[in-house]
Amino acid sequence: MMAGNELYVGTAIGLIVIGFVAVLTRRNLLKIVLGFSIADTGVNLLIVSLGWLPGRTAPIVDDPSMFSDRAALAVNAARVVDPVPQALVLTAIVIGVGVTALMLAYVIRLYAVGGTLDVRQFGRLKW
Amino acid sequence: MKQIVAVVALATLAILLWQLAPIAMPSGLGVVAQHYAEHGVQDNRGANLVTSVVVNYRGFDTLGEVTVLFLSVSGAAFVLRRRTGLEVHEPRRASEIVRTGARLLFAPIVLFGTYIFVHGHLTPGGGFQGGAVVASGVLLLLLANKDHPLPHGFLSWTESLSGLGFVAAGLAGLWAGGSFLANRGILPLGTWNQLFSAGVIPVIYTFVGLKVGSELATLLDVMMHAADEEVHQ
Amino acid sequence: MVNPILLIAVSLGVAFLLPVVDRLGRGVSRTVHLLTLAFGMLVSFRWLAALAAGAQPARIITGGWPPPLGINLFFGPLEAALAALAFTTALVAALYLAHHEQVPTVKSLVIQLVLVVGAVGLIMTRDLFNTFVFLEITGIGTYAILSFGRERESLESGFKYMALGSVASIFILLGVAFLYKLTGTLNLDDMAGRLPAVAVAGVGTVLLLLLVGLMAELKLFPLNGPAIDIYDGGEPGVMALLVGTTVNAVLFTFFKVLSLYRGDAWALAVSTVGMVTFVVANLLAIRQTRVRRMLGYSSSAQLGLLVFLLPFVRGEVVLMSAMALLLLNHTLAKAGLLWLAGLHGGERLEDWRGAFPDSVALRVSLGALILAMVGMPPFPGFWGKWQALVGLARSDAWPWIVPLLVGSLLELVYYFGWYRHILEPAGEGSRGAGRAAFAEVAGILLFAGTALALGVRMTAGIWGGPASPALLLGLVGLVLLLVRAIPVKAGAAVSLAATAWILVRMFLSGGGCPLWNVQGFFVVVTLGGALVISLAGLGLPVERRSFWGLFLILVGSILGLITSPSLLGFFVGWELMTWSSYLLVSQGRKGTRPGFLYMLFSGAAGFLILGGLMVAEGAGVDAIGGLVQLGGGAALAAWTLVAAGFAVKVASLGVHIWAPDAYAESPDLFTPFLSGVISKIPIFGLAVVAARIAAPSLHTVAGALEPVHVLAWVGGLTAFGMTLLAVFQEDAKRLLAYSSVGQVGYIVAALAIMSPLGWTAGLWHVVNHLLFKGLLFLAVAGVVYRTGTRRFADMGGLITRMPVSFVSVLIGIIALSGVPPLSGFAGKWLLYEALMERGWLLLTAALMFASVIAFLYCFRLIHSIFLGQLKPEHRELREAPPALLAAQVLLMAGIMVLSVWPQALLDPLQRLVGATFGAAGLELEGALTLTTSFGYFNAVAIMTLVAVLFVVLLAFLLFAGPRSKKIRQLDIVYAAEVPPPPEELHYAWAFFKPYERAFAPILRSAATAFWKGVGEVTGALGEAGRRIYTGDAQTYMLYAMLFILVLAGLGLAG
Repeated sequence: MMAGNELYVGTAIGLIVIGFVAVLTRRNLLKIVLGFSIADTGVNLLIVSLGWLPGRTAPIVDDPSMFSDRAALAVNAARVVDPVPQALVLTAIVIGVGVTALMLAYVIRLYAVGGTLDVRQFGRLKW
Repeated sequence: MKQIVAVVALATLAILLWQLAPIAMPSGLGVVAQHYAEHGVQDNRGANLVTSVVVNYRGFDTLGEVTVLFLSVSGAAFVLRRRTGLEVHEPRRASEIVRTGARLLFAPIVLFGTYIFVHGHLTPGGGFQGGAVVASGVLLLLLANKDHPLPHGFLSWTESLSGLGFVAAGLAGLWAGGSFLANRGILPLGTWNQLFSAGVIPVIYTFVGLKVGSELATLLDVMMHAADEEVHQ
Repeated sequence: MVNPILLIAVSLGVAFLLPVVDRLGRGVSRTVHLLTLAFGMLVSFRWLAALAAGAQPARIITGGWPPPLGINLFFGPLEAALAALAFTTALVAALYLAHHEQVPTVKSLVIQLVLVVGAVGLIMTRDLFNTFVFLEITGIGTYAILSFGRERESLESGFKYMALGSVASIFILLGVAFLYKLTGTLNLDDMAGRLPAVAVAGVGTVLLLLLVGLMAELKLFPLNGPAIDIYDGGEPGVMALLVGTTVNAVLFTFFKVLSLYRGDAWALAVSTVGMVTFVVANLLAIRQTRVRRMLGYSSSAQLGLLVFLLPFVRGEVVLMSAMALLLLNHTLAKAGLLWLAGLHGGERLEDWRGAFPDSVALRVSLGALILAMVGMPPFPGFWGKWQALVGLARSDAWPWIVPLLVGSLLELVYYFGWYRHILEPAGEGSRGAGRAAFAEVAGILLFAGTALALGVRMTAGIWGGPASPALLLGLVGLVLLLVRAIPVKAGAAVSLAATAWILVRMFLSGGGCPLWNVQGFFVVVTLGGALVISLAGLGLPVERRSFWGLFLILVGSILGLITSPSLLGFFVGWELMTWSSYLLVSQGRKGTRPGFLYMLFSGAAGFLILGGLMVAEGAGVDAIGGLVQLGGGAALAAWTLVAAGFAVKVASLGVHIWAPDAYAESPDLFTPFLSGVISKIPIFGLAVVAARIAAPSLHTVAGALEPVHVLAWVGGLTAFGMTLLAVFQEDAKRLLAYSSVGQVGYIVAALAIMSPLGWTAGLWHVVNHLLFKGLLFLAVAGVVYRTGTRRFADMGGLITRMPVSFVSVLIGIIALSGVPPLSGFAGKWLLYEALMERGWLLLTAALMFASVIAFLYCFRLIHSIFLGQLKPEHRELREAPPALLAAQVLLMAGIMVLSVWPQALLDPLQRLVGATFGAAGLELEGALTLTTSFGYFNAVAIMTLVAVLFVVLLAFLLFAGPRSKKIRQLDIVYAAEVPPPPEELHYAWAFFKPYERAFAPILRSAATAFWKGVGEVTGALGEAGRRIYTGDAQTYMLYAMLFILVLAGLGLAG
């Protein structure tokens, strides 16, 4: 068993940076949107891994004995991982979906008015 | 040049973030999480603690989350309100087998999605997950046949009324339980691990599931038909 | 009271329902939308009222769990105010947007409504992750609504905005998640309590992630590129909506989140970024040619200013009310200006030439909102800035005042650069409001009206209530400005009646002669000047309808300035005077460019004075009377800044370049007031503010330097230089302009002597200069009115056509040149004596020499205009209008009274000076002779002597001299030569050319070149700087990455 969650955190940071590389260096608008999605995924992974505790299970009380009394519940509390990051990540995912949807709508219209997906063609407003 | 700067900057950023790894190491439950883990089941009688957090403790976040989805779907439709400048792309018509298969699969998929959001307080899953599954059924239909008629009126009503239902449930909490989205005094909390338990949580999650499902379906429809001449309102 | 959570719940429920409601028709859904916003507005305002009356703030929990278990919200006064502002903005924005929608859809209503919900949620929530959720709601709502306008531009800018926003939200989310991990809670207050106990490496980096994310959301420099682009590309009505809702909400969020940031390093970082944004955005805006983009830079700057203040508000260095006022001011002004920009549609600055000629309300609103934007009184931003400055001045943070004022000055440059075009006379291309629907202008009128009403209320508070003459005059002026139905002549009559009434009341009210104290003296000078101008105005028409309204506001502001006992009241009046006189100067036919220059220099003068006043405030002095307590370095600094400001405002040599054009191009009716009264207000400032500081302590501090000696030389050199320049003018008003500046130089020198005699001389000259320069300018105004020209070369021989004006000018120049028998002599005599008494002999010599030169130009006035040959086209010319002549007669009478009976003024001046210095400067022997340490003079004797000499000489010339023969001007024969241009043939053309050649090296104006250089360098900086906004989405995002690394590198990480 791993002592920590370096693997998850490392992967998450890797995903974030990979996403950002796409966002900052790819010309294609769709790839930029994809880059954001990848970075979002990295963030989500990181959030989940923040709640991870070695050897613990999902925060669902599915054993009747766990519900017998307070003491049992306290024992249960020592069995589960942190439920909060899981709740947060749910929200984060949905928000990510929303932003992606809107970005894609923008890309569709940008393509319609510009006839291209090259991000550099959409910088006429400047200075 | 800019690319090099970008890559160097991001590499530095990675190093900066990696220095946070020690913070990310497992360290036990925090104060709030400890309370949820210990008292969550008693507080809400829901087996799934994540659902208790999502719908009750942090239910206000979830209302916001539903709003985000609603808003981005409305936003996408708003951005795509203009239809000019895009070629109508007619894909090759899918084979009869695919179309029939899609229609056949649609009902089980919707049923499965419904199962997921109805049991959100008991098992992994919930409104968002169930709703997404439902919408994937619609996606299947649309992929098989781009012009598959969707019941726009029904979707629109479902979207609106389920959203309203969520708010109404929250207000019921305010009226009966003393605070917005409170899970006390409206429905009996019931017995742990029963379908009809956890008070208002499954009700809210059902609304969420319906809303997410109908919204994502609308979104797919809007995107699919971004180039069409006719205007869907 | 309604539970504030309903603000969110109800609006959200309606938003969900709107698409279905829309099936009943767009009208129904629009009505429901508006009703919902009205409900929100009502509830917020009722809460605001209740909270102001002392009600308890609402602490709201959700889900039935107290924090930190559940998400909680807070609704206190600030929250209520921001929510009220958000709902109000959204309501009027919806009215406006309904008229500007190209492809109407219910989605736009949905998005608008949810945007407000997001903003209100953001304002109320006390939970960090919930904050993130609402940030995303406002963010996504913003991205969606941004596509409202012209498609290509709005999509382009919207995408950039969205891209940077997404980077920001990734940073924020990372920060929030790690903070949860560190503290085990998401409640903001709980977290702020637990965070200091967390001593782990990396806390700094976590906080930095959150900070940079929020800074990107706030669009601080250098992350403000996309924010500026959306102003350029988006629909202005949408931007107005955002300014009033999400921008304020995000700012407030930043304020709340700052509770997590303990320690000076963070505060310094936030303040620095904010201030850099303020200064840099303002600098980069000055070369903008597109109005909406310029507004974008301005918004960024304003936001920077607010962010700069946040740590100081947290540290209770700056009052919360300062923050609130600035924020309110920015919302009202920026949203209003954006709506106006949308209504007008002018893209470039030039397109705004004479904007809205068809609507008084819109023109006044436009002006009011621009003035509000740059922080002019009476608008709320002024008070906010003042409070903020006072707070800074009283703490260690005082050095920040310098960049704050520099940034504010830059702000003046581009706003008045824009206003300049608006003030141009309406012409062919001027765009009006046309058939704008009421709904479209409702927001503009509401916001401008609110700003104005708040401003008037606050000004009333500082100037002693609505019954004070200052405020009363201002309000009457406002009515004149707004009511189109009042005829222009009636404006002059109202002005005449009002000034006369106040003047009479002053003299009848008892409590001694008003002239016995400095305030009373200057009030009489001001009202006297205003009275004469109003009288003249009955005869001389003005070109713009708004003249008299602005004039009364100007007079009112001067009264307020003079009579107010506090530094704040003084400065309120000062700035009011600055902008109202600016608007009047700009009313001249070619007045907008000189007006612009006038405004810039006046603005700079204002900020110098403000700086000086802040030194005083920093030492705990807030009343003018308390200035004497200042000591040591504070006294020297305050005096130097204040005196420098006054020196700029009197156009001292070196900073005089604004004056000639401003005087010459002002409306003819206004120039006498500008010269006679407004140029004396800095003198009042010197006499009251500067002298109080200087009185006891300055000599001891400055020692050998003797600052007042420097000031005296500044005055003396100005007198000398301007007199010299006046000689070579070919334009009657420009000549008088240089002369005016020079004469005020004498007064500055006289006051700087800081002796009873010097002050007597200076104040005497204040009155005398008002009389003779008013007389000369009015006489010239009559001539210009009749001939239509100001150039000497186009005049001549008018003595036969305009004899009364001739006498006016004659009396005027005699009084000016300071020769016996008229009043000018007494003034000069007193001045030279005072200078010699002080031992400044070189200065005495310089001033005497300048007086001699003054003869040269005095001579030109009479010679070039009235003597010589009459132009053929002037043969039928009539004398100036009677009312104008009446005003001149009044002034001549004044000069005669002072000449024959100087004691009428010297007597009160004795008391005045005596009260200031504890000793009188001269003795009055009997009724007619006055004596000083150097000698005596008797005005009546001199007058008699001169009169006798005059009669004798005249008789000799008439009866014993040779007969003259009349020759017509056209009796010139050209013998096959090509005639030179006609003006070169005129006898008065280039009259002093030989002297001009002799003085050429001195005259070549280094000052003009210098200030031009300053302008060009600043402009070039702005031009070069704005290139960093390359327009490329990826570059903008790269800046965000680099920004976080730079801040980390500066040691904030860890």
